Amino acid sequence: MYDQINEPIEVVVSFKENNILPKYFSWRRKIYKVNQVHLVHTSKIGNQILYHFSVTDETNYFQLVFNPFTLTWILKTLYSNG
Amino acid sequence: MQRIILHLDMNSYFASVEQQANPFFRNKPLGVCAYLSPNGCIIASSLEAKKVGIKTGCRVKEAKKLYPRVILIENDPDKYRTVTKKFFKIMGGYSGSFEPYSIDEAFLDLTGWVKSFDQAWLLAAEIHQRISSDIGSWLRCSIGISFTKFLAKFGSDIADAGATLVIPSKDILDDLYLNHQLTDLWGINLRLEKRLNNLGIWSILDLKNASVQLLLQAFGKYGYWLHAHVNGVEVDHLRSSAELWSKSIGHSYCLPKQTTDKKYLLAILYKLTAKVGERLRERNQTAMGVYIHWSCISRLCYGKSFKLKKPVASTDDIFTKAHQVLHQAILKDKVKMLVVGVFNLSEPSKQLGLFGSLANMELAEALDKINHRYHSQMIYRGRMWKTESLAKDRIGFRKVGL
Repeated sequence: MYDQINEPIEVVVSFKENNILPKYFSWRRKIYKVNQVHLVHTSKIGNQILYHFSVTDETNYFQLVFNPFTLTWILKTLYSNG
Repeated sequence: MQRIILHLDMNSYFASVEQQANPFFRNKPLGVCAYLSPNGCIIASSLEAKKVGIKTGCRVKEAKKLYPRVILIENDPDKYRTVTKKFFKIMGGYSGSFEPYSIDEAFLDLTGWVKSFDQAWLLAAEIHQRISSDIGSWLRCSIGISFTKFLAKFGSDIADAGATLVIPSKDILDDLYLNHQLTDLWGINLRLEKRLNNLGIWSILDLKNASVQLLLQAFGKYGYWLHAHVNGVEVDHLRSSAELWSKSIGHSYCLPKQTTDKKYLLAILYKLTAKVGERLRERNQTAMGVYIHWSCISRLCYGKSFKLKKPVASTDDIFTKAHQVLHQAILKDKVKMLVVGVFNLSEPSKQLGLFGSLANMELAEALDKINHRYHSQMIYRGRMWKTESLAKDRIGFRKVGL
């Protein structure tokens, strides 16, 4: 099922019409191209709002989390189809 | 002026949100569970899961028997709350009168905002389209439009997934009711259906044609409401946020470890009480009543509720009352579920400082401030030590507070 990863990643994003969309990210020395962003949702830790991006490449689902206070990204969850 | 009410109901909500987030789950039987343990309950199943017999309320072990390749995942309240906020925002833009009925349902009063049912239908089509384009193309909702709140909800309940059903006049009610059962009506469950059967009412048409006196005699005021609802007479209104506040606040938890160990049970009881207290203080209310309830593996239940002489709002004051009951109880049987809550809620009296537990209240408010700023469990009582993974955030269908 879902693998909990919780590791820091580097992300290339685009800013478009008040939206921020991940385009590529690198994790464990490999670069992944984001094909589509399917859902963006938020969560809170104290008064900090975190942004969760549910994205896919060809074969995997990833949940990327952006913390706007620390300007950091983590790969939270991974799901491989098949 | 023609009254026009719209009711929107998201289809297979939690499961659809998960399928929206992860496209690899689409077109597959999927169950969103409260817990993934064998006895965990499925709180939402996808349309595909429903087709293989996995319905809401099914246990994890039963679902795996019915369809071994079913995808089962734990619920993610933040996802559903975010999507709910988004579709509430879309709906709220079409009328000044909006009632968020539950996490996946809401009413709109379009009276004065549209001129006719045709216009309302066009507006519904726009809402369908905006949910698809602004939130997610996999999300579907059913919309009912009518001249009463009850019939608008009936319309969305019987409409196909992703469709809109308009009930513009009383003339079509008989035809509409013909193909549906009593339990298809809002508020009629199997128990009420049985009571109606005892009165000789076997169908919705029977209920529509039953005399008001008979229904009043059997059910009191609710009997009149039933009569009015099915006959298309409006006796309801869209509720404001203040009206929607529940009359009590409670939290329950199915224990992962069924036990008679009071130390463990009291730790969880304190954690549940802390959640109750936090919600009570968030609403700036106090309670004049506390209830505690637990059920055992033998299916026996124990519970006590009592009215208080002084209003309470701090976690410690609420816990003291609930603790007394559990502490004094002789537990012969393993406990499997704990419930704690408060009732008789009101605005805090100005005299709370004189007669209430001021120190407890000040401490609770200080802890709330710190926990709101940093983390929901930044500071907590030692009693809650090692309960981090227990009684986590959960979501209910009737909870509208986002």
